[in-house]
Amino acid sequence: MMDHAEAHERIADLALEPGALAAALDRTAPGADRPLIEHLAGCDRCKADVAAWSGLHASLERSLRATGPGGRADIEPIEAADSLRRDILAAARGERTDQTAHAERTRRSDRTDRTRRTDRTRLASLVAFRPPEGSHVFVGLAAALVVAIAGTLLLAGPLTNLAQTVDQAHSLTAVVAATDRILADPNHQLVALKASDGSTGGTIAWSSQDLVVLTSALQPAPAGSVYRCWLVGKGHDTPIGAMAFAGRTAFWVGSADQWSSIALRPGWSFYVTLEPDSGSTRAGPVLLEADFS
Amino acid sequence: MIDHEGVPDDGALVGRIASGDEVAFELAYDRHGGLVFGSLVRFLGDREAAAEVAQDAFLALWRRAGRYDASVGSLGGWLLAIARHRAIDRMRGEARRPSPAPVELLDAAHDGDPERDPAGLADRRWSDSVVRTMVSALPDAERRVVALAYSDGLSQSEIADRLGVPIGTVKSRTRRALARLRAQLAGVPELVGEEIRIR
Repeated sequence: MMDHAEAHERIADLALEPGALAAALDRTAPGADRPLIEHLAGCDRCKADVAAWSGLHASLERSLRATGPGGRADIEPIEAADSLRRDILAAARGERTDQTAHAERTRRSDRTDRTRRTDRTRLASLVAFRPPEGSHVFVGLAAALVVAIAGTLLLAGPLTNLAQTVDQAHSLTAVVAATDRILADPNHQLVALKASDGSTGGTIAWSSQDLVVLTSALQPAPAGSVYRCWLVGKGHDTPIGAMAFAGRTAFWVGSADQWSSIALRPGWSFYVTLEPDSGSTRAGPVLLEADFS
Repeated sequence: MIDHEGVPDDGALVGRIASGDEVAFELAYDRHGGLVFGSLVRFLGDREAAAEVAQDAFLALWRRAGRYDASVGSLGGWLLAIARHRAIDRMRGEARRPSPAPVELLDAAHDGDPERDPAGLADRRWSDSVVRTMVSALPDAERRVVALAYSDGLSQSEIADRLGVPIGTVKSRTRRALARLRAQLAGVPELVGEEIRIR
């Protein structure tokens, strides 16, 4: 009796040759593979495997046998122009701008006193996170964070222009969306990101579903390099992504899906290092660091 | 879900798009734009028309990401389904057929001859366009072995002779290519061909 591993391997081998799988499973054919047929009778996983391979073969045979004007199906790559990407992204942004303006008007007219209090509480939670006096980093980061709630809070004062400036950096919309979700979570947390000299270089904010890292302490990475983010704990370095730039602000956004959550345990640290593009291990010096204590 | 490089899967990506995340939208375009556009060019035979329909399809994602159900199929499959409908609408318009009837109604009104059935022809053309685009996106060496096997009907040993490489190389390229294509097609179940039966 053929076991599952043998059957799986046999199916994978037969799948390499169009027609070979069908021939092996045809009891009436001279090349019938009776042990495999017997195994399939009692193994749903292998049956599904056969179904997937045979479906693929049928699709390829049907689509590639058909010939084009040159006597062969056209399977040469077709590249989309860069302008298509630009046009699609611009159209989406245009729609967002329209929707945001409309939503803003609606929210302003409908807002209740209770909502205002909630918004103030959320802003206060940001302001309460205040790095040492005189830090220019905080102003930029606070603006980037405040912009997340700009849609529900009327801003006034010197932050307004800065918030608008940051809002113009379209790449930060991911940060805005994630930050808004984080701030809506009453259990969200914030920690300061420290530079190697001990100064505050940025902020990490997270909830159970989103994590946002913001810093204006980094210069754009040299060609061939990338600022990589790491979670470090229990002797393990886990790369979780690379910082992206929008203007002078560098950011990283991560979101968990509905089946998982973000849990940063005490004793873990977050590092930002400069690494080669292709690097998969942490080799560069720690430029920014935060402890989840 | 986020992988170790911080790259979200399609489900996470669509969730972010639904909340207005433009970066996620860009990622979705980078991930699936080539397949959608290439399929449309093959289906419509016109790059300009294909670009317009591709834009419609991605804007539909932008506006209605909340309707995406990952249990039904991949994001690529969802985008392809939108693109297919828009492309058929466009073909109808260009053919100056004012009927607003969907393809399924045209299907029912037909005499049943599959060779003349417009809906069946459109489905077949679309399916060919998508599968060929998936094959076109394979690395050159893998694309070549797939073409020789399925387009020219060569065996693995014949392909090895034709290319002047060891048969083991042909097998490994074929294995990789088929694995990629299988994974892609799994997200577009309506394109998968008929399964063989154990007789």
